[in-house]
Amino acid sequence: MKKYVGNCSDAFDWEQIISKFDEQQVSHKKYEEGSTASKEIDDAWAESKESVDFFTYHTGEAYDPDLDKRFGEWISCEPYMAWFSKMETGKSCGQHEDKEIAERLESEGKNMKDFVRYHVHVTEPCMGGVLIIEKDCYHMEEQGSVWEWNSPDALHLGVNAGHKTKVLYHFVGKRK
Amino acid sequence: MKQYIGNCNDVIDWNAVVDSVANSKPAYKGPRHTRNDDLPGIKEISEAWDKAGYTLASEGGTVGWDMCIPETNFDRSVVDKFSDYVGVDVLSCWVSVIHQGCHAPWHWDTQDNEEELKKLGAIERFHVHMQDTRPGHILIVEDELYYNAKQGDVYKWPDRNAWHAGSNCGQNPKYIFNFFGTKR
Repeated sequence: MKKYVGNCSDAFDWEQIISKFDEQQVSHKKYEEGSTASKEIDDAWAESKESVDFFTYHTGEAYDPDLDKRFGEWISCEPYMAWFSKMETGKSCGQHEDKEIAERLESEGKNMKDFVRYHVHVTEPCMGGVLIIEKDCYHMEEQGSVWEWNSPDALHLGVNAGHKTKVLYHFVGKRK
Repeated sequence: MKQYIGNCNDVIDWNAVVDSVANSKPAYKGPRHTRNDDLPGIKEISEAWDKAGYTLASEGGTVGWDMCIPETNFDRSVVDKFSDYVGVDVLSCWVSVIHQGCHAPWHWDTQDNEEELKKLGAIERFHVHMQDTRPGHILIVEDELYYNAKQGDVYKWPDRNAWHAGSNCGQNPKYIFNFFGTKR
């Protein structure tokens, strides 16, 4: 079930934030064998590799980590991981989990249950820009709307069949 | 707002229709029209796609879908049964198939006989989910996203020419039955 937290547009100027990304530091992800949670998903991605294409802006590289601290204060969480994802039109990212989160938590001996994940709709709503987390659909959500995930490693997918680039902010943190 | 009509699984064997479509050559590939066609809406749609940076699958991009029609790809009786189910006489009907990694970006379905259709007055349009929604199977009509649907679920569209989009970043082809016609 979707868990709406609120709208943070009064506290963050998202248009200005994304305009300041260091484009030299962006991570451009395309289809890569073995990059998903299972062979089944890997095989599916292989069939649609022209479409698998998204960008990731990591904290401390492409943008100032102070943003994560400010968002953590807004949401009352200690930041643990954060990044922006960007998807151009005509691109998609099939169902997957963000394995990096579990890997980092495990390497640091931390329990995922102690952490919570949120996402923010950074760009203005555009028909055709879709995020699906497990069975929950996010389409035409307000700019600045914040949603809590059931788990940081929940299966999710993204599609952009719209007319504008779609950007999301992802935040994993520990409740204060 | 979504207008759910009901579930027609008891009336039509959608698994058989999917099999029939999957095992036949599509009647043609969408989009059928090109930007140079002199039809209502084509210029507007083409310009929007160009501006957004879309490229047809036939040109190495991700835009494309299969169009499957009665008698060529599935039995005519499917159309008759569905007509009876919704109480609407068919004017046009087809199955659209979006394969993995492909998109049908924002558009409305321009018909070759658009002027004639306008003269008919009220036309009702429906779609049917031919399978349970699978992860990554996206259909959007105006601002409504149709997900978590059950096989046989029937929805009426707000308008025959409603703007819509479809995508598939799942693991199997996505099959949607499309139908429009006049009320009996």
